[in-house]
Amino acid sequence: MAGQPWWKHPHPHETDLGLIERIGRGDAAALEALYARHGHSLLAYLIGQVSDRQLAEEVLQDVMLAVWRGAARFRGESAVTTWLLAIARRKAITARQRRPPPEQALDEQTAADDSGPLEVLEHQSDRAAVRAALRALPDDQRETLELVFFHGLTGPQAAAVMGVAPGTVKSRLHRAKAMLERVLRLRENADA
Amino acid sequence: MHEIWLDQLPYYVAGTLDPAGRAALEMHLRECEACRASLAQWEAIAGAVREDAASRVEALPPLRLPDVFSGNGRVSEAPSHIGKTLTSESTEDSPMTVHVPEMASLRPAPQSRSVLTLAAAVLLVVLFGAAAILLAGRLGGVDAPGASGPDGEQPTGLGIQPGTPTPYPQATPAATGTALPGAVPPAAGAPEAVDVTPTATPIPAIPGGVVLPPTALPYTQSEVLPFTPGLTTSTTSITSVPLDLGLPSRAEIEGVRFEAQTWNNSGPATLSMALSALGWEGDQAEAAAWLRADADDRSVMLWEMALYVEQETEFGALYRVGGVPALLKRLVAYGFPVVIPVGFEADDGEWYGHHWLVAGYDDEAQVFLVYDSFLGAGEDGPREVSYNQLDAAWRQFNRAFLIVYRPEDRAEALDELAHYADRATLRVLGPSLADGYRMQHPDDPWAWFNLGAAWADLGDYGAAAAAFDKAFEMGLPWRTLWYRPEPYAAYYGAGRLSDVIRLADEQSQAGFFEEVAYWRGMVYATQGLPDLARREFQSVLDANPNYLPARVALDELTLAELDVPVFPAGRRAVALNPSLYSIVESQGVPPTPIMREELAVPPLPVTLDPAMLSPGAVITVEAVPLTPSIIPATPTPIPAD
Repeated sequence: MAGQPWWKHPHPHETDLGLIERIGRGDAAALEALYARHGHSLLAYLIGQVSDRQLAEEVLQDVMLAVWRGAARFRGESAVTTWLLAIARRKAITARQRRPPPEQALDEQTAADDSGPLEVLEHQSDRAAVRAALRALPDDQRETLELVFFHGLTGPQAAAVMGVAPGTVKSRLHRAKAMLERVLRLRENADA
Repeated sequence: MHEIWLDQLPYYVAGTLDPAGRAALEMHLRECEACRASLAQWEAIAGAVREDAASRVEALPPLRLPDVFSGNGRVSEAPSHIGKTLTSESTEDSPMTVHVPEMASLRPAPQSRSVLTLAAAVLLVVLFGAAAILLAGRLGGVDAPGASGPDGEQPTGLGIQPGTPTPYPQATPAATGTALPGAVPPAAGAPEAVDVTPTATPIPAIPGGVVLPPTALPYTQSEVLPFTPGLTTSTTSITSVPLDLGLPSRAEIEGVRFEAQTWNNSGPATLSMALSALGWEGDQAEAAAWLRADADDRSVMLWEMALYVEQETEFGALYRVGGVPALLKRLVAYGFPVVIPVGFEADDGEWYGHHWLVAGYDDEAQVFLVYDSFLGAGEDGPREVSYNQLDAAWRQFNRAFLIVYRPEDRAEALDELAHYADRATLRVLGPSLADGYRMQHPDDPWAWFNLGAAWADLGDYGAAAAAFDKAFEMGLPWRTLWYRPEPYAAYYGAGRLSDVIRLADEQSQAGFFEEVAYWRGMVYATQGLPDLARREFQSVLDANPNYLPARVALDELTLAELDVPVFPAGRRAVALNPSLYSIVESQGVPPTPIMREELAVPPLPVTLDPAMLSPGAVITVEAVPLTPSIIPATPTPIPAD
């Protein structure tokens, strides 16, 4: 995954694929290494998906269990990152079905404020405003942004994770940007 | 037209555009103000997205997968390919039921035992090809371990009895049927084709004529190990002739000049005696001046001796591990003096590392003729040490050995080493040979230790670390690390840097050790502390300028800072210096450091449930918890010196 800090790569001399192969042979240490390498970003993704830290941690364990069981079947058709995120996404959906989202949303401010993204944007400025606006975006758009910018997926990879056509990724990105542009302009004006 | 560029901007910002697309976009950006404005917006968005996502996770919870690793033996919890193979290949009473002993503290797993042991057999076949089939055949029909309790009643029919050549059992049809494509099935039931030594050889026999197919490699060759083309591009044949076949019943190398060692000088003294047989005129003081440039150095490793001989004398040396007594006999019969490290219990009841020069043998008396620089010469020169006695002391040092030869005899030396000549072959065979011994001696901590060393040599540091965990847990002499530093490489390679530091701290209570400072330096380098790392490496070189790994490590640090790329065949420094590389490779010099960007650990270490660690889970398919895997549960007391 691009743009990650160095400490997220505990064993960069071994490729993700190499770790998966070892996990497929029952090597628990390889699972540990994979977890050390991808656990942070998977947990971040899952928290975004299920809006509940504790539930996300449980789902993350499910994901690693699925990796343990499924590693031998991984054929390398996709990047390991894509595969992991796809598993995480499926597990998150199952978890959400099993347990309805908590009454109180993750971001209390957003939950208390019933207004849409644009209204939120107008009340704030700079990076915090953009982040607040992000959380107000429709889930699919926010997820797409994260897959591309945080998880470092290409368009086709993000499409594979979400199970949508590559064109959908493109349109989601542009719609998200259109929504966020306004707060960005506000920032520019404030700077000026 | 403009749309194309706009669509690419997010991926440009994310850094996921391919280089060509990136370059094209950058050219366009120079002349398109609209795109530059859009780019700035994407950058702001990307920054916020990353910040937002990253802020959700401060600490990663420990990975807990109790159901998988609790040792309840449920097949469904094993990696799926095992279950898959099982269902398609087996029935409850399959003739391939195999005993695969595992940790001493196993709990019974009655409900699916034979299925699991079959899985073990299948996996062994997958991993070790035809050799494993034969092993499976050898063990065939033996009951599974669970029922025999923690002490693991020694199953009948398992193992080679001393002095009894064991006919190789026929591989069952079922076993042959599961061989990998390309694996050459062994000649069924052909005892004469078996490399079984007639002496007390505790190593399982290597099947005759077996060719390990490249696909049978049990691991993905780690980049930490120098690339060995022979492993991946061609097959490797194993000798089918007993190593001591046709040797005279007695042989002795003449011309050894005995030297009584000075303090802590068994290494240089023994090497000096070995070289004296070739006509070398130096003595232990001369060798020690190089080998123990630090007069306080208490352990000279065999690889250091090999470097010394190669670089400082006119003679050559070869260093290998995992030898067998029959090989020692063969080497001395052909006139090659052999230096072996051995464990030695002194009069004070303390355990030390020691060296012997093996210079002869006598089949009738069942003895080796050795020169012992500490105990002194025997009546007629060498002392007699029984085959069994020698092996008992030798196995504590992974049956490592070093031979010295005259330059013109190099080809013959390699020839007499048989399948020990090629380090790549040895590496691949190492874990299965070491594990074969461990199966027969599950209560011997050295068996576990040697298994760890073999895994580490092969580059599977996770398995190695787990085996070392087990060995430490069973109890080892407190000076073990003085002479056998292999656990450092294993824990380091497995990313268990805190264990490296803890071992180093414990060992350094007894004074300065090159290995301790070296591995501390490695940890610092990995943690992104090059200055501290340099200081450690320099301290090694200040004490002993001939400690090659530290020199390589310093070069590595410098080259890494200069952004010199890592070459595919090994590390930067060795790749830039081919002759250095060949030395590092051929003499088994310890690994050179892996820099921060290549091997780094999270500042928030992931704590793994100890129950998850199962050494060689690959081999011991029942993923049984290896009781607290942290190094000695009760730390070995280290008296202050």
